[in-house]
Amino acid sequence: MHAERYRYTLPLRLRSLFQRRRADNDLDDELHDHIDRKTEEYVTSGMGQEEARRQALMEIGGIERRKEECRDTRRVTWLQDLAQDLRYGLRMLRKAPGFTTVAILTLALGIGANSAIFSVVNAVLLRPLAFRDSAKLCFVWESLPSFPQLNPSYQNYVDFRDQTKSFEDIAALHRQQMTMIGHGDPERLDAGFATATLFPLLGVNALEGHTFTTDEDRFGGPAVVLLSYGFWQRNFGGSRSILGKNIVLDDQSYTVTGILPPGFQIVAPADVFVPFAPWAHGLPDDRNWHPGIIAIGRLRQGVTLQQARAEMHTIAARLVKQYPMFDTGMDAIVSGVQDALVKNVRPALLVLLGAVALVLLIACGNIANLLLARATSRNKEIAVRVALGAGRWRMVRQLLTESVLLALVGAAFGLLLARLLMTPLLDLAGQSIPPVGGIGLDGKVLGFTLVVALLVGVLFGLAPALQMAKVDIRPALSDASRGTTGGAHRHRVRNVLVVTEVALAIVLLIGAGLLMRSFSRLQDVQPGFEPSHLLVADLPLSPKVYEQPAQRMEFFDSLVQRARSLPGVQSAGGALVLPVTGNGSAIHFNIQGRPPKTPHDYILVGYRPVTAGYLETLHVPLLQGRLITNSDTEHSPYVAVVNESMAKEYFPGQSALGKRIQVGAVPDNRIPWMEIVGIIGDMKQSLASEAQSEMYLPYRQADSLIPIFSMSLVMRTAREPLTEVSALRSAVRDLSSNQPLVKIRTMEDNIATSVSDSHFRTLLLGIFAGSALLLALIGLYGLIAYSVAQRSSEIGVRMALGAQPNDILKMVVGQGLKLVLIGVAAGLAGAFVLSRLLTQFLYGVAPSDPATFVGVALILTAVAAVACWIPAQRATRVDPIIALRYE
Amino acid sequence: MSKPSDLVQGTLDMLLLKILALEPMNGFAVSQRLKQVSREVLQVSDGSLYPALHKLEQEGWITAEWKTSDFGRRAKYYSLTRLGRRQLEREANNWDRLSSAISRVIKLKEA
Repeated sequence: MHAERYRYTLPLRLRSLFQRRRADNDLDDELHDHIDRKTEEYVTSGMGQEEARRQALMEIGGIERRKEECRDTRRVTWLQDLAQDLRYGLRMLRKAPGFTTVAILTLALGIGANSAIFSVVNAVLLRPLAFRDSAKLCFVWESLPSFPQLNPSYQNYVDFRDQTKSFEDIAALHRQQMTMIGHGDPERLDAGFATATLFPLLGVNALEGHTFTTDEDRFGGPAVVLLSYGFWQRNFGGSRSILGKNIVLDDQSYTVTGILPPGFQIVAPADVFVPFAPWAHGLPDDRNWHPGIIAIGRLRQGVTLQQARAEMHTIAARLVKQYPMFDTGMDAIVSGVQDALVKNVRPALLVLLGAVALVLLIACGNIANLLLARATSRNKEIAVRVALGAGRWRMVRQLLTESVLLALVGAAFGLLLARLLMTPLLDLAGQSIPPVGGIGLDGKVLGFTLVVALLVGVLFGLAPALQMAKVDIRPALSDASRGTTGGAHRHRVRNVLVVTEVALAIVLLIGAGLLMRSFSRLQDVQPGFEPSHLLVADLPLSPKVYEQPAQRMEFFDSLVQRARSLPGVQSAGGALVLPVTGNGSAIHFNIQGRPPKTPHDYILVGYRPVTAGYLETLHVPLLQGRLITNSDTEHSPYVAVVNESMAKEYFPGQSALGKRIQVGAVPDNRIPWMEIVGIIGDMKQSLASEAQSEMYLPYRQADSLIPIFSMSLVMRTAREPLTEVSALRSAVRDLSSNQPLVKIRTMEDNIATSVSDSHFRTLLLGIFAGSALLLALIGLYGLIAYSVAQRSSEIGVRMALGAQPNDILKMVVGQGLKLVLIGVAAGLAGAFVLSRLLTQFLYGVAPSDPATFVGVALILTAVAAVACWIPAQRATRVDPIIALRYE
Repeated sequence: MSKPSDLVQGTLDMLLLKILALEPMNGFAVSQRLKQVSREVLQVSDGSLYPALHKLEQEGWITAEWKTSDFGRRAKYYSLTRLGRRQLEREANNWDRLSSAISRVIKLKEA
């Protein structure tokens, strides 16, 4: 039905639009044809030629009028009106280049910032993951009384996988770094150990070759490797000839059997994937061992997340009964993959999007104010058009077209700006945004920008348009109107706009202020050691080359020796885990004479193998006893140094020195007892949280308990730490040419990385709040300057009557400050409600922190007073004679 | 503006569709036929005829093409589309219902 209708009507509409002249000519021909025939008819019936023609014309009643009526049936007049309005709008904008430039720049900034933030939100929060039916993918975690959420142990993973009916399958992934040699310098790669089921489960096919087969994913199967697209391009120039060739990872040769499609990543980017089963085969048979297995399941068709959760709880409960010694208090957690990946970043992004929207609102307020100011000067123009018969609605439409046009041009520049801002924004974000890839200006972002532009155009255009269309024709057309038009109502609208702007700016400033105070608190936190002049580097060892404990311990010893003997280095040491990195493993232990009565009594502390010299290098205060020395080896009595928290937690009211502890949840004669020989001050694993209880073990002794294959080397340098990098590199190369040295950085960088999320949020919100403040001040300044100009004759009269400049100053500034104070009050109230949204980002500062609230209010009032004072100053210079002469 | 009587305005569309349903013709012929068939009762002015025809064309009920007429002149010929035929049926039905209802009311008064 519709299609058929369009077959006839669409060509007509197009013709009316694009071949208007031809359509008009046809119409002309048609009507004249009618008149000719009519004339002929009358002539035939005996009328004179002249008379006949006149009669025919009379009957049709005016050719032009009929033509207009026929044209009115064309249904495209609204489009033609729009085109006319657009042309007119463009002309008006060109005629006021100053206004237009300011408005477009303001809008470009406001809309551009919105588009930039939205494109991150779009890519991170809105876009589904690039997997088949990704809403059905779930992570399966374990939960223990001491850890609310952790990766499942291998044995539990296998039981989950084999017993579930809610999931089609549960695949597993383990992430670890591997060293590639034989291809230029030794390179550390991010590797994924994936089950053969992982790729089909995700719905990912190999771009070249094939993903793992079940025959490859077994212990003793062929050593095969899949390359990520980026790694393949980077290292092998995208050549297909690499398929079937071998690469060496951790000193084992792997055959390349497939290339993964571009953009593929799960959880985080990886360079290569190798089969899971050979790795899992080397794991201890211990349900309490959590080696970092990421379990990913796909829900069966028709099974809800709730049902899957219920089933996994049941399975977990069964396992707890079956293995009471291991799985005490264990439970299973199921969460959607996408939700889990963005859980941490969602609130921050939404807060930023909200903030940037507020900035745009303030910008709209400013432009509405500018338009209202312009309204006065356009009164006459509007009055003329209304007098000539333009309807009121028609005028509103015309003015709205102008403002929407302005917004669209602003948005176009805004998109350009967003494109430019994107790279610095992502650089700044760093690890704060999950690496989803594809963050950019796609169709959705363009659509969002268009909608925002249209909304914004109507938003800032509507009030001025309604105001202007209400113009009273007579006074506007007579010249007497000068200086009195507008009236109280228009002023009220402008005042409301400025009050709103101030209030919104207060909200943003308080938000930013809270984050800044929180960030500076965070930076003031004492990490428990002296972080300046420390150079840090990670040295992962290949388990194949350093299979023998003696080999790797000797390597580590000589490494620390060499580092210590570098000319610029004062002292050096090594540790398995550095402080302030947010990670680090914890281990069960027991105290001699106090065995746990039930598994609920198991105790857990941070586990920190360190070399001699490490604690000294960090300048950690020694409180009692001694530190770890070179004579603490696997052959000497086992010792441990504990931190203050551990001493207080487990040995309250007594000295921890001389007490004996053992690794492992329950006493075991095969494991050596360690004597506590020293107590040191607390170091923080995360600036934002309290120090945890930790024990420090000599490297060599710890290696005999759990083999250690990596070390973070720490050196205290005399000069700027990074000046020693090349010396360190050559020292390591002398020791072993195949030894990668990764992530060389200063300890201060290390700490900065740990608070980079907080830094990102704080800086961005700070920028938004700063822009908001600036915009609100410009708005206020504009309002006062305008009102001074409008009232110059009144001011002139006042001065003629004896008012002093000071009185005028007080009057004008007072008028502005009244608005500011209302805005501040409203803003404080708004901030009091909204700052709660920031609670989870705050450290050591309450969301209603009085100092921030009062400080922001005072600062804003002070700068606002200056913004009012400048035009007020000008008002005092009004010459009464000149001002009065204008009347 | 020379408006036809109210009744005619409401049904002018229907009349034009009906006339064009018989055969395609140009505007002038439509005006002749209109007078002829209504025995000069319906005085549809030439002025209101053309806007009405254009409206029907824009609705997609009639379509027009330019032909060279018997007088050797270019003239615009209108013809009914399928949509127009359906519309005519609808309007004719409405008209039947309305007119029979009205005549019943009129008879009621006489009784």
